[in-house]
Amino acid sequence: MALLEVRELSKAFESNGQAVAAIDRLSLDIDDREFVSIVGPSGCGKSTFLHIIGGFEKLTAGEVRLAGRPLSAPSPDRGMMFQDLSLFPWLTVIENVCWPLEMRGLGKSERLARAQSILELVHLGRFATLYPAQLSGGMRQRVALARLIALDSKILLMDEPFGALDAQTRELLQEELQLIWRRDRKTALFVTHDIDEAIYLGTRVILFSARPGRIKADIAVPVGADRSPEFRKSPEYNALRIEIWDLLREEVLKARAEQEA
Amino acid sequence: MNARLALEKLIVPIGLLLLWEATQRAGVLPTYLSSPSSIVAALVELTESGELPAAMALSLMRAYAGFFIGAGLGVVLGLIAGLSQGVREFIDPLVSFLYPIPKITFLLIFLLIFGLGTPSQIALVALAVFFPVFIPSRYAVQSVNQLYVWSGQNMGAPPMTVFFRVIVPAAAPVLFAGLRVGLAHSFVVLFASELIGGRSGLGFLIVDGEEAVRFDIMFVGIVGFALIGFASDRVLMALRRSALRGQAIGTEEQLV
Amino acid sequence: MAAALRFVRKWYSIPLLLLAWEICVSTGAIESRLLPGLGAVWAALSGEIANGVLVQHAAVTVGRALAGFALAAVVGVPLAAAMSRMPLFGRMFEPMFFFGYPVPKIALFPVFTFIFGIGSLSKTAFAFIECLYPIVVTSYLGIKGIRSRLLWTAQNMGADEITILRRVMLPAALPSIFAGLRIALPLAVVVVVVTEMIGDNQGLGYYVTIWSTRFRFANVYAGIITIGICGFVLDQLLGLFRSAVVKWEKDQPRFTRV
Repeated sequence: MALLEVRELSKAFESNGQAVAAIDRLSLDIDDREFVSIVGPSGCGKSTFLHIIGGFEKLTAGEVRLAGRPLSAPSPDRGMMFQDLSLFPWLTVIENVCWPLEMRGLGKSERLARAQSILELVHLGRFATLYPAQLSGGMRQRVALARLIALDSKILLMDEPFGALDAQTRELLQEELQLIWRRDRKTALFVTHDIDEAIYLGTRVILFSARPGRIKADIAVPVGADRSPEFRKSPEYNALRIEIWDLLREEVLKARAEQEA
Repeated sequence: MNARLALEKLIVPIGLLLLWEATQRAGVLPTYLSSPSSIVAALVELTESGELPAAMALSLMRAYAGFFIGAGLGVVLGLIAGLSQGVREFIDPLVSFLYPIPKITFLLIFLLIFGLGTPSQIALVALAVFFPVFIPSRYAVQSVNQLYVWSGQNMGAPPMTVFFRVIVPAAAPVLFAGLRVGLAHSFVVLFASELIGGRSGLGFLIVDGEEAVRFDIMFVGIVGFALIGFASDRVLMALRRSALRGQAIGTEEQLV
Repeated sequence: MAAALRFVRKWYSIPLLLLAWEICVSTGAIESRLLPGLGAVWAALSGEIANGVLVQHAAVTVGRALAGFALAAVVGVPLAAAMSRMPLFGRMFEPMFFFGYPVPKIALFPVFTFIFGIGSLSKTAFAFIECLYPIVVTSYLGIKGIRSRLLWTAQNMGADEITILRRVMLPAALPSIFAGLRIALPLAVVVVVVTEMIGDNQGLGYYVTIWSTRFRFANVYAGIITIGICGFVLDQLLGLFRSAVVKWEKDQPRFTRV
């Protein structure tokens, strides 16, 4: 049994009295220890998909099961990392990371110790007492990542977490993320619009079609454990990239045509 | 450089004070406008006699009592209305209806209900403060960033925790903005009510001074009001800074 | 049908309250001296409008409020512009607005009455100074907040200083200026009413006071309702004016600006 089973998932919104299909009968299986990247054109429903898995939005039809049980309200077993603006601005960095630990019932000294060590992991140990407003965008996302780690979820959901950052910061964070991921190998769903990021991080890349979202392609990334920066220069990487971009480009053009119509 | 900036800022007020003193002494200004020196003298006189501290204490007490009642209700009801559509639907029309009406118009009615003096003044201040505090509080809850709430839920917080430890802190900046306006209102309404129907306090000092043709005393009352209004605002702003901590970074207000 | 239902849902508490009011009065739960029945209030209201008394007082109050408000706008907006564009000017006036903001301007009431007398002039002066603060402060922040990029773009396209002022800065600042105007207008009405209550022989504030002293509360409530109506109508008019001028942006809901 797969860890996450999605069967005929559909989601429709109401807009101006009309039903607009965002996701159309999507089915998917995700096994334990997979890092699944999801790419697709803008508006294809990939974020909505993630929100449904996270329990923040309700599906219109279909079924999703996590470890055999149907989904419910948001909960720590599906930890979510948003693109930005999700850290509590009234708390310091370490207080933010302590929050999920407190919800789990850890005592104060234990919380602080754990939070501090997680912050060291993301190279932010020195900034524990600062406020999010005092940090750069990249550092804030590291804190968000630390918070996610503290949550200790069964499955990690990441909604374009590096989308708001500049290209250089993004690449560095990608490297750090995959190093951290390789420690525990938690199941992860990672939504992005950036193909390079999708291939670099994922063990599997799923391509969403233009709206309404369906799965257009499901491609395994057949490379071993090593995701050093060298990987990006390898022929396997480039082949994958060309393949996915060609498919994605079709959908991007479709999405644009629909917008202009 | 800092000295020069300070000088520039002080030029206008100091200049005006000097002009005031000079024109009064030259006899150019009517007597009812008094002069800074006589006002200071009267200030000392009234402080020593204990009249000024007593009047100030009374006015302050009334204003604060009314403020705490009105603002307390405003915040609590505002937060509840923000969360519950049912409460919103009930209260919104009433608030829209009553908001544009100057609450001071109810003064004489209140005097009849609560009797002369302090209780009716406190009630009036509470009524006047309620509205500018309730309205932003109600909107603040709804404008809290969705992602904060989702994150809180995601991390396993039960609804009450989400309310008290996510929504309230996130809404706090707007709540404080409302409190600030409410505080200013409390002094305005108290002043008017003391002038119209008062027998004690700073407002009375003003009226009394006027009738006794002691304009310096009258001005002491005016200055007293200005001072307590200003000082209270500063205290609130300090409280705000410490309560908002991380959220206040980069939003240091210049004028407002 | 659905629209009608929505309307009811939106406003139902007012008739409910009025009903409760009427019940309290007719069952004698509250003294009718204190709380006149709805019928009595309506009679007073319609009567005093019909015989022109309320209309006359309302005209006086609204006239004073509008005069003070308009004056504050005409003086305040250019002042704010000067303060934001000329730093020296700004530094000189900033303390007056920074320190003066939380000071209840009404504390100056006795002084104003001495200088301007008790009639329309002092009421207008009061409305002026009360409105000046929010108008100057919001306009100042609005003009200062215009993104430099907008100004640079205009300069890049060869516009001179005057053109920039008229055709870039003013439109860009208008939403903030109108926000300030919207805050100031009800203040003008309130201040005029309050000062009329303290001392005057005409205007809605005077009307409310005089009938209170005569214990004719039906008339008092009629006066209060009239004040509310005036405030509401003025706000709507301002909104219309804004829509005509600021064509590119929809107005914000009334209370988000505090």
